[in-house]
Amino acid sequence: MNDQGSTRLRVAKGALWFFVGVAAVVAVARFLAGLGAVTNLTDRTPWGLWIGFDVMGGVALAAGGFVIAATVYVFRGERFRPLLRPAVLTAFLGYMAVAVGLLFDIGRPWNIWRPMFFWQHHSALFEVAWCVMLYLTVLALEFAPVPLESSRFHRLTKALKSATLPLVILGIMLSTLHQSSLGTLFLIAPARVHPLWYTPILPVLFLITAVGLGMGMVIVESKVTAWLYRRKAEDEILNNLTKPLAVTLLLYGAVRLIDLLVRGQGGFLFDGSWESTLFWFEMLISAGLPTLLILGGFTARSGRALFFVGLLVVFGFVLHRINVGGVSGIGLTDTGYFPSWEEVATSLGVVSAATLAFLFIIERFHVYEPGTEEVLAEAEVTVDRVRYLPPMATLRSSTMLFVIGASLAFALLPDGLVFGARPEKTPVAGPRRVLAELVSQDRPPHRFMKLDLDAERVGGDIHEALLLDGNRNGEFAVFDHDAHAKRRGGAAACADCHHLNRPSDRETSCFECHRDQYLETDIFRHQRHVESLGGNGACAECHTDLNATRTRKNVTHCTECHRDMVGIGLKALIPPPGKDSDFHAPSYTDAMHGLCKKCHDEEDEKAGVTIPTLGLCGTCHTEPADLRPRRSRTVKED
Amino acid sequence: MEDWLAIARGPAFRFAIMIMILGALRDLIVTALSVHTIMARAGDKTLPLRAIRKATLGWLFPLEHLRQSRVFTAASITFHAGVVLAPLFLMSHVLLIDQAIGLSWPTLPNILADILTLGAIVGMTVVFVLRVSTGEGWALSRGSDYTILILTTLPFLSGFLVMHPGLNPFPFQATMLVHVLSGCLILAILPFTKLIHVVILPATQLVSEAGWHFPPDAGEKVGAALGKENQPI
Repeated sequence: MNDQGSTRLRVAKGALWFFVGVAAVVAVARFLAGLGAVTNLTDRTPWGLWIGFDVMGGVALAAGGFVIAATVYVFRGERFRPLLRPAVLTAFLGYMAVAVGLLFDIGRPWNIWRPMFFWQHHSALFEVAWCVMLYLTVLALEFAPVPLESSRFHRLTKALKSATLPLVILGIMLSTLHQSSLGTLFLIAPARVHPLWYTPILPVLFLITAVGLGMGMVIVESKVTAWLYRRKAEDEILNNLTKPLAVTLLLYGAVRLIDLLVRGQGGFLFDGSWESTLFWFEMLISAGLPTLLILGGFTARSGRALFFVGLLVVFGFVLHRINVGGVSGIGLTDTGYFPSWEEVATSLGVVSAATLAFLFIIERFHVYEPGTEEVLAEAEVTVDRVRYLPPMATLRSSTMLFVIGASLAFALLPDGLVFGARPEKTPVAGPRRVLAELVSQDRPPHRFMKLDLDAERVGGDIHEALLLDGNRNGEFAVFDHDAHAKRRGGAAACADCHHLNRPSDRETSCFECHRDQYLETDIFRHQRHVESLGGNGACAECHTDLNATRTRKNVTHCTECHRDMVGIGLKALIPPPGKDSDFHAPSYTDAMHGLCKKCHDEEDEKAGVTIPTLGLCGTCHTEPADLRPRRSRTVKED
Repeated sequence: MEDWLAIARGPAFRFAIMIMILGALRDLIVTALSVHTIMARAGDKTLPLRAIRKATLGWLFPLEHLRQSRVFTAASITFHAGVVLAPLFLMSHVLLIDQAIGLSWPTLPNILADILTLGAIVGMTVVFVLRVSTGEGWALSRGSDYTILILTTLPFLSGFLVMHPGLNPFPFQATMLVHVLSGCLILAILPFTKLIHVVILPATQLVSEAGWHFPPDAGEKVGAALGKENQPI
């Protein structure tokens, strides 16, 4: 098949390459940074879109392979032979997509080979893994003669061709096993599947849907490639499929409804919940509407109706599997999972890559019957439509869209993924003033503050203290502000610790600059200064050398205008930001530890203690657990 | 405004730089494949490599063209020198890159960067005027040639105003936003417009030479020679 000349084909391939580009970047992020970085999956909802769509849907879409193979080889439906090769190819690529999807979804993808050697007979997933592996191999062998028949390996091709029947039988066996065992898988999780979907006959239902889906998928794929390549679609053969399809759909609808009634879950059908709406919607597009269209004779009359029926069946049954695979359980598990854009992009990318592989193979090998190609193209030759296409036009437009997709994904990835993880923002709140008891311990320099709301009533050495827990997580340090001030020498010593004040303020608290528990805070507001000083003309007020590159380090220092920001002539324990500072205050945690520990270590040294005692964690983070205030207990706010 | 600036400096810039790098790589690969395909089906497989090398170097360092059209070549050289050197070696840019990913390299003194920037702006203006006013220029130019020239001027004009707030009649942050966004735009369209010559200029002479190597009996089988067999006309 010629890939040049058809605009629709180039557009379609371009769109597919775009999705592959997006997914490629997300894939790099997923394998470098892990599942948590790109998905909304949690321990409570470990199975999300990737399992529901890629795995469950991929297996479902592959059902065409065994359905058509069984029809041709077992039931001797020779007239369906033209559909066989594309159906097997779709099945092979569908299973490849499943394997790739699983690689994405498994937390430790490098362990994916383990079920081969470490046999866990009690695991439902063990059976699924083996089915996927074996069936993928069988499909590869079943399809291998197609690319091989035009190669030099005649003997190998011949051997494979003679093994077709056993392979087909093996394929049908494995496929029926696997399709139904996917249903079995959910039998072990009744709490995660809504009663409208959960039934002991899920394996049977999955087998029936697989047969329906197989036929739907064959219709869709034949019609789509016919449209893309201006090929004549196999409408007559496809129409022969509609009757068995209608029977399958009717059987499916009947089995589901009867099963619901037999299990006594019929009440859920009309309870007005969104699950019941979902159920009816799913039933309508998977079974109801297609059956009506087929039995009403629409599909026999119009190729479009035929395509529409195929599409409805495919969407309906894939929806059924997604619903069983997770959507119906969202209400039950109360997790509120919704896939992240990265998950959606990956799924789209995997499907797009499989589709591109499909197109690549049908362009190069003999997959479709000869004689159907380019039938319509002849009729479209007109002199008016002269348009120059450079050599490799499809390659050019495709790779361009791949690049755009990849760049877009790179731009949209969270900053933490691109530049490395940073702690989340944790705004800091000011200290709270509480009553606490001063307790002396055995070893002399140890004097602990114990929070005690009943202290006044009980008596003891009661002080007013500050609770320092900027992030309000209850892991506070109790700090006796007044005792420290007194010990350092009264009012004159404020600037020992309060090394920088806000303009026109004399007692700025630590948290007003150190505004995040774990991150630096920018304490200089450039735009505010620009506005208040009068715009562009005022730059020179601070940037005195306008020819130099203007950074925060070569400007007029804050204190040259705001003279009250530091205590002049006083020596602070931690020096205030100097000339070379870029005015980023360290995190609250770092600021507190930097200040307190510095002084406490010095005191230890003065006392001649070689092992730090004051500088230990327990000096500030003191109170035993039973004295910590319960969350519900209110503390006097400062 | 600060939010817009954050988007321009963050995601928008990441998009632009990625598209430039990947797009340029893609173009190199596609060009190499094209030349390979052409030569593979050519009847005459010899390429005058020495002449190609000479022509390539002649266009990379177009000093000999100075004699033919003095003003145009001089303006073009000034323009190219400014466009390449000023943004790559401006201290403010190198500082930003250093902050973001920890890479840095020597920088130009700001006064020299100013001169280069002004040179680029003047050079672009002269090139623009000559393209419009001379017969050959007008005949050879398409809409995109003018558009891209004007677009390329934008980051340099706005960048100069950002560096010299005293001369800037517009609000600082708005100028900065225009600067960053127009810079991103130039990077992002680079692989898809004539700007790609930044990367594939050394290959242009080779490509056009290879393009004249047709398969044997090309005259009788024009469609097949052009690789357009069985296509709608």
